[in-house]
Parts: sequence; C-alpha cells; structure tokens
Amino acid sequence: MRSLSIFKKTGILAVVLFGVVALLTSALAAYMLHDRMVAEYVSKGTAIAQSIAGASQDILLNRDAATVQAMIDQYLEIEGVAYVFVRDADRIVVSHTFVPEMPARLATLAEPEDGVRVVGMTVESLGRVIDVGAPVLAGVAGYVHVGMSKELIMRYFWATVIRMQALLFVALLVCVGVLFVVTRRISRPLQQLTEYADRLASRDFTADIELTSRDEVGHLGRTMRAMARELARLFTDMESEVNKATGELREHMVYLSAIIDNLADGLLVVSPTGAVSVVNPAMREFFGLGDKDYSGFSAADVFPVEVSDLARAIRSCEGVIQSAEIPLAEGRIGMAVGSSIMVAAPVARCLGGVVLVRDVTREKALDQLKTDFISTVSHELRTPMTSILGFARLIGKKLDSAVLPALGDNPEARRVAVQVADNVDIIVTEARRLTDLINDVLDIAKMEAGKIVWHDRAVFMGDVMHQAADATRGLWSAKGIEVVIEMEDDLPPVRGDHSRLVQVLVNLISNAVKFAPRGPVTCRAHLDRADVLVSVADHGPGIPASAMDEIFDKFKQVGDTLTEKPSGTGLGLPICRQIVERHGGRIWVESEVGEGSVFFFTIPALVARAGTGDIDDACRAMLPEPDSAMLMRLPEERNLPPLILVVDDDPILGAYFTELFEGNGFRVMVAADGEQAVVMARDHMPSLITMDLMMPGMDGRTAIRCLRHNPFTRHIPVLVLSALSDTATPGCDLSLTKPVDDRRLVEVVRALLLRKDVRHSCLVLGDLDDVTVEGLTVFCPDDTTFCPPQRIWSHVERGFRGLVLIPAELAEGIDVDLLARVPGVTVIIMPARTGRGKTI
Amino acid sequence: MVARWAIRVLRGILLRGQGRRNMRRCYAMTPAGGRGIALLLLALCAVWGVGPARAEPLAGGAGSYVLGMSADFSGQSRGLGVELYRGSVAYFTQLNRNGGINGRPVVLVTLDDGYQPEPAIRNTIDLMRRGDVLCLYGYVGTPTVTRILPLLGGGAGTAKPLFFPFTGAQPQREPPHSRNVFNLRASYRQEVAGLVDRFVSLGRKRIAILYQADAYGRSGWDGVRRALAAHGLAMAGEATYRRGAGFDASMDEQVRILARSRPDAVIAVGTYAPSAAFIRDARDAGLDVPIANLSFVGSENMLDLLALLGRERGRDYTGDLVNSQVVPCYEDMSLPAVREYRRAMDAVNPGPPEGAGPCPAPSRYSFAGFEGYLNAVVMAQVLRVLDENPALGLVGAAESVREMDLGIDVPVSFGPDRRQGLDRVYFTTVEQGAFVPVGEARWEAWRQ
Repeated sequence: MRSLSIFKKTGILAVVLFGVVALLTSALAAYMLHDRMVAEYVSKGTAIAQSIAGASQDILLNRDAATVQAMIDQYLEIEGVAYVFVRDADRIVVSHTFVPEMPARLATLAEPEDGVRVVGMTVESLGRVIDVGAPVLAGVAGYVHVGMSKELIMRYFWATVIRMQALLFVALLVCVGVLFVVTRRISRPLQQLTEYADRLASRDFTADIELTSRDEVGHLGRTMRAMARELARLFTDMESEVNKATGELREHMVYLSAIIDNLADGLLVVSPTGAVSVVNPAMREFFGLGDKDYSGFSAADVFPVEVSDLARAIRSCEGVIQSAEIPLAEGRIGMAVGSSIMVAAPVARCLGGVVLVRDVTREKALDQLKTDFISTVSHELRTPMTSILGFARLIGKKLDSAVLPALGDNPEARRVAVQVADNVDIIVTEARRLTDLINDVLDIAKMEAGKIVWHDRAVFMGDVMHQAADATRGLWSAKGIEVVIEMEDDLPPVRGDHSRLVQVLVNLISNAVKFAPRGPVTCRAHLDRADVLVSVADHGPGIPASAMDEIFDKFKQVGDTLTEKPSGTGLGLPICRQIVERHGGRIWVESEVGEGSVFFFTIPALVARAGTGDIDDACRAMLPEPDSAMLMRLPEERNLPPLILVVDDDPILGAYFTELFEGNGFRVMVAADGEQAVVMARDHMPSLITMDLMMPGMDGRTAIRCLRHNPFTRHIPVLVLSALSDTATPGCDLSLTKPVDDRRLVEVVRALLLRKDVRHSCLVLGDLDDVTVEGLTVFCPDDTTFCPPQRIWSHVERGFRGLVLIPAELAEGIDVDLLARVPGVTVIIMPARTGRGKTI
Repeated sequence: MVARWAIRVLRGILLRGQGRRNMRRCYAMTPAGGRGIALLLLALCAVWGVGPARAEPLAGGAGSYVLGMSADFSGQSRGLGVELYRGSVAYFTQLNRNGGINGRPVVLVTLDDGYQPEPAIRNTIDLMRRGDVLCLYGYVGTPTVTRILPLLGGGAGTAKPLFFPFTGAQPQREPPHSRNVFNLRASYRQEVAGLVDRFVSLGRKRIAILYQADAYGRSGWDGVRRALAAHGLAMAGEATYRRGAGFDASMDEQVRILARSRPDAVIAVGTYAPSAAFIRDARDAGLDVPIANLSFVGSENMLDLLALLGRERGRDYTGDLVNSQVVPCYEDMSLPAVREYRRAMDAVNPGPPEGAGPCPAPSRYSFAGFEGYLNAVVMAQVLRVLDENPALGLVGAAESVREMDLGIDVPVSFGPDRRQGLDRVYFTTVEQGAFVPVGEARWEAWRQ
C-alpha cells in the first residue's frame, strides 16, 4: 500500500475514540458503582451494627458470650461483611469472627462515644475495610463493630470494569468488522477511481473504468469518464491545431528566413549582450565571413570595429538610429544603419539591435562621377568666362579710355561707340551672372554630394547678421532701402560654419532688397527654445501660398522666367536650405501677397558645456552623427608631404611650430583649441598632431579622447607638448615637456611618423623568395607576416593595420588604390629585385 | 444385608436432586430387616420425603413415643452424631424388645443437619409441626442448638422441650431457654473450669486456647476466661479456626500464634478433625505442652486420626493429651452402666442412621455412644413417669426425676430450677492407643 488510506485513518481514529469513550464510560460506571457500593456497605454495616446492638443488650448484660457469638455468626454470612466483633462494657472483646486471631489494628480501635461511627482503614489479612462501630445501650452493655470489606467493592469494581471493557471490546470488534465491510465496499470503487484518475493524469486516455455502483461514487466515476472523453477529444483537437499552427509558423519562418537570406542589404542582429544572433548571406558576403555559424559570438570578434561600435551603440535600445559609412570587403563601401529592436507589448523591453548594411560603392562612384563632371564643367566654363569677363571689361575700359576720346565729335561714331559700350556692359553683367550661376551650381552640387568642407566653430549670429548686412550694403544703399538688425541680448552662439551662415543671410537679404520696392528689411535673431531663430522680413510683393513650397527647390523663382528677366540664379534659396539643414535647422517662409514676406531659419543653439562632462556627448556634439558628410574624407593627397596639425592656444607658439615644421619639409595647420583640433583632424586627416593640454574650451585631454573615439581619427599619432610636469595622458603616443629642443622635437616627430607607417606590423605578399628582405627590418622591426595575395583582404577585414609590402609583379592583381584607402594601411610596392621601393 | 445396602444406594441416587441440606433421612431400626418392610419404608420415604424410624413393627401404632432427633450425620462432627445415635438406639432397641414403656415403643426420628445452624432450624420446625413427635431429643452441637432454642417455646406450633442436647454451651442452661431444655451432661464451663483448675494447680498458669469461631468455641473460650479469672489469671493467647475445617487443613498459623504466647498448656475447643490437625501441627512445630480437648471433640475419632497419622509418619502424636469427659470412661468396668452399655452395644450393634456420610468404621464403644446410652436411659425413665402419670406433662415428668441412679456412681436429678442432670467432669488421656482416666501420677508428670 502506498500510504494509509483515508478510510484506514478514519477507522483508526474511530477505534481510538471508541477506546477512549469506552474507557471513560466504564471508568465512570465503575466509579459510580464503587461510590454507590461504598455508601451501600456503610448503610448495610450500620444496619447490621445497629441490629446487633439492639438484639444483644440483654445477652451482653448477662455476659453470655456464646449467644452473642451465635448471633454475630449469622451476620457474617451476609455478603460484604468481613468481620463482626463485640466488646463488653469493659471494652474486652467478648465475641469476634476472626480466624485465626483478631488483628491488632482492630483490637486497639477506639470506641465511638455516641452514635454510629464509620471508619475506613486497612487491616492486615483483610485488606481495606469500613468499620462501623455502634454502642450497645449507649456503651453500657458494650460495643458492636461490623467490618465491611472494601476489597469486595474493589473486586466488584474491577469486575465491572473488565466486563464493561470486554463487552465494549466485543462491540468494537463487531463495529470494526461492519465498518471494514462497509468501507471495503466504498473504498474499492474509490481505489479504482483513483487509479483511473492517475492514468488520466498521465494522459492515458485509453484507460477505462468499470462502474457498477449507482451511488455518488458511481456518479463521480461516470462524470470522470465523460470528462476523460472530452479531454481526449480536446487533446486531439488541440494537437491538430498545434500541428497546423506549427506548420503555418514554419512556413512563415521559412518565408521570413528566405526574405532575410535574399535581402540585397546585409543584415546583422545583435542581442542586448552584444552577441550575434542573425547574419544574412549578404552580410557574410560584405565582410567575407564564409559559411561559419557566428551565432552567439561577440559582434566585436566577428566584425570590424566600425560595425561592432555601431552594434554596441544600438543594442541597449537608447533610441537612436545610427548610421555610418564603413569599408566593406573587396574595397567596397557600405552604408550601415543601426536601429534598436524594441518590443512594446506585453512588456517594453529591448531585444537588441539590427544593423543593415547597403553596398553603396556604385552610388559613391556615381557621386564621384557627378562631382568630377561638375568640377570639370565648372572649370571648363569658368576659364572661358574669366576670359570673356576680363576681355569684356578690357574692351569697356578701352572704349572709355581710348576709343571715345578718339572719336572726337563724330556723333555717329560716338553713338555707335556708346552703343558698343552698352553692349559690352551687357556682356559683363551677363557674364558675371553666369559666373555666379556657375559658382552656385558648383556650391550646391558640392553640398549635395557632401563634398564641401565645413569649418564648424562657435558662431555668434549677431556677427553673422552684421557681416551679411555689410556685404550687401552695395545693393540696399543703392536702392535706398534700409536694413535693420534686431537682436536679443545674450543670444547664445551656434555651432556652424561662419562664412556659410553669412552666405545664407546674404542670400536672404539680397532677395529681400531685390524684390521689395521699399524698405526697410528687418533682420531679427532671438532664442526660440533650444534654437536660435533668425528672420528676414521685407515689404515686397509677397509669395503666393502655392509657391511657398517650391521656392526652396532648385532653379525655381517666383514668376515666369520666360517672360520676366531673371534677376538671379534661382539657386540662392536651395543653397540656403542645404546650409541650414546641414546645421540641423530648418528654413521656411511666411508671406502674404502684397504685404511682404518673412523668411525664417533656425540653428540649434550651442549650449556651453561645463568642463569635461560627458565626453561622448561632447564629442558627439562636435561630430554630429548621423551625417555621412561629416565622415567623408578628402581624397588623400598622397604626393604631398605629411601634414602636421599643431594645436596650441598661444599664437606665437603656433607660428613658431609652423616655421619649425615647414622648415623641415612638413605641411602645417594650426588649431587654437581642442574643438577646433578635433574638427580639423577629422576634416584634414593630418599625419600627426602636436597637442597642448592647457587650453581654453576643450582641453587637450578631452580632445585626445574625442580623437580616439572617432574611428577616422583614432589612428593619428598624437604628440603631447605641455608645460605640465604631469603629462601622463591617456591616448597619447608620446609626450614632451615644454620647452622642447628643436632638433629633438623634429626627431620625435619623424619617429612617430615612421612608426605610424609601421605601427602595427608588416604584411608581405608572396613568399619570402619573392621579396627583397633587404631593409625590411627597418620598416618591420618585429612583426612580419607573409601571405598569399588573395588573402590580403581577409587580413584587412580582420583588422590588419600597418604596412603592406607588395612586390611589383603582384601589384597588377590587386586593387592597390582601394587598399591604400583603408585607414591605417600603407601600401609599399616593392620593385623587382633590381628596382627600389616606391611609396604610394 | 446385601439387599438393604442396595436399597440405600438407590435412595441416595433418587434423593440426590433434593440437595443435601433438605435431605431427610429415615432409618428402620430392624436388626435383620425384612425386604418387604424395607421396600415399604423406601416407598414412604420417596413419597413424603420423611419416614418414622421404628424400633419395632408394632411401634407404628398411635401409642408409640416418637422422639425427634436432628444431628450431624454428614458434617465434620458426624462421628459424634452417629455415635450418640447408636448409643441411644442400643438402649431403645432393647427397651422396645422388652415391651417398651408399658407396651408403648419408643421411636427415634432422625434428621441430618450437618452441624449447620440453618438446616438445624429447618429440621426443628419440621419436627415441631409433626403431631406425632413428642419432643426433641439428642441434638448435637452448640451453634445448632443455640439457634433453635427460640423455637422450643412453641413459635412454630406446639411447644416441645428438648432433651439432652450434646453440647455444654450455656444458653440452654440459663433462662429464658432453660425451661424448655433438659441437659444431662455437665457444661463446657464446668469442663474447662476443671481443666483450668487442674493446670493451674500443676503450675501451668499460662494457658492458651484454640477455639472454633462460633458459639461452641465461644462457650469454651468464655469458660476458660471465667475459670482463669477465678484464679486472677488471664489467657496467655488465643486463636481461632473456621468451623468446617478438616484434618487436612493447616493449623500452622494458629500454632504460630499460640506458640508466640509461650503457653504452659493449650485448651482446644473444637471438633475432632481440626483438633487433630492442630495437635499434629503443634507437635510438628515443637509445641509439646499438654493439649486439652473438651468432651465434644469426639475423642475416639480424634484418636483414630492421630494414630493413623502416627503410623504413617512413624511418630507418636498421642502424647500429652488430656480430654475432659462428661461421662465416665467406658473402659471402667466397675460401673454397672458401663457394663450394661457394652452389653447393649454388643447385643444390638446398631448401624449408623441411613444417609449418614462415610465415616470411620463405627466404634465399638465411645464416649459419645456411652453418653447417648445414658441419655436414652434417663429419657426412658422420664417417659415411664409420663406414661404412668400423664397429667404431669412431659416437663413435669422430667422435673420429677430425682436421685435417679444411672449406674455411674452419680445420681441424676431434675427440678423446676435444675435443668442439668450431671455435673461431674472426667479427665482421660491416651495410653497404649486408648483413652484411660488420668491418674494422679500422670498429673504429677505434667507439673512444672
């Protein structure tokens, strides 16, 4: 048996309770009997004693002991009487019934003084007795004592207890028997039911139960059977539903999987911990990953640092969509966009991030083509235009200075000459207009291609407005229109390119002056929440609402350009939009026809940051992302000498360093503070940076951190030149304490530049035999790897940075140009055995 | 004889269902017995449960004197009852053979009470209600006799006196019951007083007593107490035994109790079986002081038991015994009564009453039998006086007996104030396996 069944427990409990009740009942009954019998014996003994006392008066007085004995002998036969004895008046025992002798305890018993006295005592050989003493004739004749046996009472007591117990035991046995039979009849179906339920619990729906009883148990069994059938049916239904759903799900999964696998873009999904979870074939192809399963690998172990940084930025769901241009395998360029995967329901949680990479190599190439085309066309147009303009002006001057005076008073000739001069003026005007047009087209093309260089720094909008007003003074003063500048006090600066912002305002003011018949033109600047809002209002004819959206498109001007003489290139506002939007602002117009127009644009205010707060944020503010244009690099000017960026707030020192380095054959740029240094480093990719630490604004340490944070600048060697004795600066390559020795400085710079070239290691294509090892140790002091030509890309993709030595014979089979563009990779094509090394 | 024994057995079987206490037994005192009479008696006994015992065939007439006797024929004292009966029957048989009392026979009706008071009372009531029973005669035992005394006054019918009960107890010798009872033997007080006086005179003053826990024992105890008080002495020790104890009962406890009191002599007030048991255990325990027994003990039966035991164990248990008697020794052939008694016993040799329990072979002679014989002699004399002068009534006739010579050197007299015929006590001891009177030399041997 597994354990005691409920019936057995109940049975045992019942038996125990029965036993307790039986015991108590019999004990109570026996106790009552005992009590009653004691009382009965006392009264019996009293009655006997008094009877003897009454009958024996004469006899005792006659001193006839034998008669007294005959009398008391009769009473001895009465049940319960243990003894009788009689004393005479002298208290001598004259008759007794003891055998073999009178117990000493009773022989010394005191006599009752008056009336009957009952004493309980224990007497040897008799046990416990109740002695009833009664005086005969008030003690004059003697005393009678009757002993009632208490032992007899106890015998009755125990006999009663035992009999009752026996009776109850028999009753209990009978009850247990009956209970057993009844319980068996109840428990067997229950047992069957339990087994049945157990089988059902283990999902054995084939089980069945035989039911014969018509009572509650039978009803329960039938209910269970019905339930089991229902369950079995439900299970079957559910199973088929699940199978169906699973099939659909699988199909759906296959479908989704196929979509992902067939995406032209590379797809990478990372978990919140940074582990790779999904990589599609396009992604594998982009990064040359092969067919290995990378699930669970850290993204940093599998992908280049640019991708893993992106993945790290997005996986924690901080809500930013990040994008970056990244190098792909085989010299291709990819555009990576990363976004977080957020699940809103049922509980908002982050599932990691997804990175999409698109191969933009072709777009880049097209872009380049366009840029090249525009540059070429512009150049080809500008050159003749310069000649046309120059010669036209020369003709005009010659006409004024030579022809007209020579004509004298010949009115006909003078008239013709004046006409010619007018025509020449027209040529000059149109040529100038064409030149502006070409410049604007070139500008906008550059902007759209992202090929423009932005000189971002803190800019005060007041300066910009005044400068723009000054620049357009010729226009509005000639037309007699006043330009009013209104500016809020304490207007914070904005971050931007000063001259470009001036260009925006010049455009707007020029337009206003151009179209407005009367003044004034009002320029306002004030802080609107986090932006600096600038407006230029005029009293011109206004712009119809239908045209408001178009005026910012290229080559759109209000009015009919066919019937009206165009008064501009039509590219001013598009350029403004390009510039404003590049600065993170927006531009729009509000106008009412006949009343005038107001042009608005906003630029985010630069909120001054305290000290070295959040470095990443500070850097990000300086390197606003996403903006692929910011990450664009100029084509490397390979044949130029190395560019050194000197960062120092002291202009004298800056001039000194400039002179020193230029004297040693380097190109030099100077940045006055950390921010400028970071921006210039990013834009010009210097070969080396000398960094002062103590500077206003962003200090040198922060600048170094920002440089190291940026994937495009982190490889640039930094030489710290500081007056601080404690120059232990994280991120720098070397540090010197001011004042520095000229020669030593130049040596260090050269060493750093050389080390930069061979910083990581050397990779030599081909076998040892193909390579002239002569002089190799100079470049590669410690780490040289030989690899077959076809493996070069996989090395680079795995993060190789350093010197790549390519024998000239193998150079034909490798896209050396693309290889050279990889940041941190320097390509050296080694001549054939008799040739000499050539640095590209 | 063979036929009579067979009938006895048959009757025993038939009557068994009635219970021992209520069994009534009858006995035809026919010396040889005829089959017809025996059958007739059997039929009568079976139908009425009781039958008169008749000395002679002619005694069945209305003129016979019928005496009712209830005694112990089956209990522990049955030896006494039987011997007493035999002694009386020996005399009455001879009397009836010689013509009875002026031609009227004397018939003895016997009932067994087993020495228990209750049957004795029932038997007495039966006898009192029977019209043909003239008087009660020859009862045995103190506890029985003391209980039936109130019946004698006529409470259960006509008043009928009791003649010569075999007990020395005091109640029937003193008012109020003494007027209905005539005693022949000396009282227990007289017996024990004689013993005590003798022992004290011999220097044995520490006297202990073993007595039966009933009225008989108490009578003896009372006598000893009074006798010792007369000498200014008290009992050295006392112990009881329960009535009904047999020879096989252990008396060790009683011996231990009495030995503790270091007695000079022990007086036993008991019947023969427990007395013999006491003597046995006392002697075994080393208590070798003289042990005295009263007349009621049944001396011959006690001696038989002790002699048998002595033979078995090879030890003499009969030494230093004193038995007081109320009749002379039946070995004293100098007395005419002894000679007549022995002659009558030899001539009649009566058997035990019918239904008597098994008992040792009836003694040829015995103190109880001699007493029964003497009782019968005196009774016959009373009946003669009554027959000659019926106006006296039975009590008057008895009271008129004066200075009657029984042949035992001591005359018998009754009167309105004298209800006891004899007063002398005789002392006997065992010598050569038989009771003999205690001689002076013997007494001196016990002096200390």
